[in-house]
Amino acid sequence: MLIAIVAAILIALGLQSGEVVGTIDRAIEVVEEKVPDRDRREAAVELLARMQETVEQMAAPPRPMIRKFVDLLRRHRASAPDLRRALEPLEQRQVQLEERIVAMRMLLRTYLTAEEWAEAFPPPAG
Amino acid sequence: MLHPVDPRGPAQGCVVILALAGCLFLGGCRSDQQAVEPPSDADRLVEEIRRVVPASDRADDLVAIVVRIETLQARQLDAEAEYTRRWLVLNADYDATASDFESLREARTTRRKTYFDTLTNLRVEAAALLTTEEWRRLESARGRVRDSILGS
Repeated sequence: MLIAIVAAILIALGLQSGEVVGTIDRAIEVVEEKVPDRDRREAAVELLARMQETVEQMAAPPRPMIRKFVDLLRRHRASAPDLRRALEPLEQRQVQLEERIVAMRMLLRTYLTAEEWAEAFPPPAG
Repeated sequence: MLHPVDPRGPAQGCVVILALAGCLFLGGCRSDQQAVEPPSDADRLVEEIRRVVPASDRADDLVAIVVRIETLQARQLDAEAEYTRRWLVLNADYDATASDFESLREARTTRRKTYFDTLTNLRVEAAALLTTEEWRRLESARGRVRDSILGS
């Protein structure tokens, strides 16, 4: 029973990493191929790699955080406020990581032209 | 090992947390979205409740909670997929600003808070329907799965 709740909560954390990581993978390939200036190209690829690492961190909350939350869920009489408080660090971490990704995305924009960006990041299909 | 699947693996669009959720919820480890709600596994969870909780009215209420959780979870999965899609659309716009991303995230945070609040309330409701012994038996039945994921 409690595991059902853990599962239902965990699915709500984080961008869907596979799709975002795939997008960054493709962007790295495009940047390596299409950006002629070596300095801009290298800076962009390095930044994209850091973005990728951050997305992967979002997809894997630290084990101690999850364990602490699960331990609380195991307690039969854990209260709703206690449970909400235990979720807060997980939530805050996700928000911070997402803010970091956006900050890197804004920096990446300074390395690429609008045309290069359009090739690196086409809108998702559908 | 916390990651049941490699996020860069062959299953395109695979969600690591979703896979973890599938493992925790249903006791299996698969890498696709269907892992969360195959009827046979949901039925197993219901059977487990029926076996552990002898009073049928309480068991009925617990099963109703499981169904509600499943419904909420399915809706949340859809909402998360839509959030990721909208995030990628915004990212594709060269002129999108940090504040555009923040607006998108704020709307999602509000929705997610409602989801978490509902879930925690359902959890407390479920706990109130169970004796300590029933709670322990239901929990231990899932312990092996949990420990295999979280490590002992």
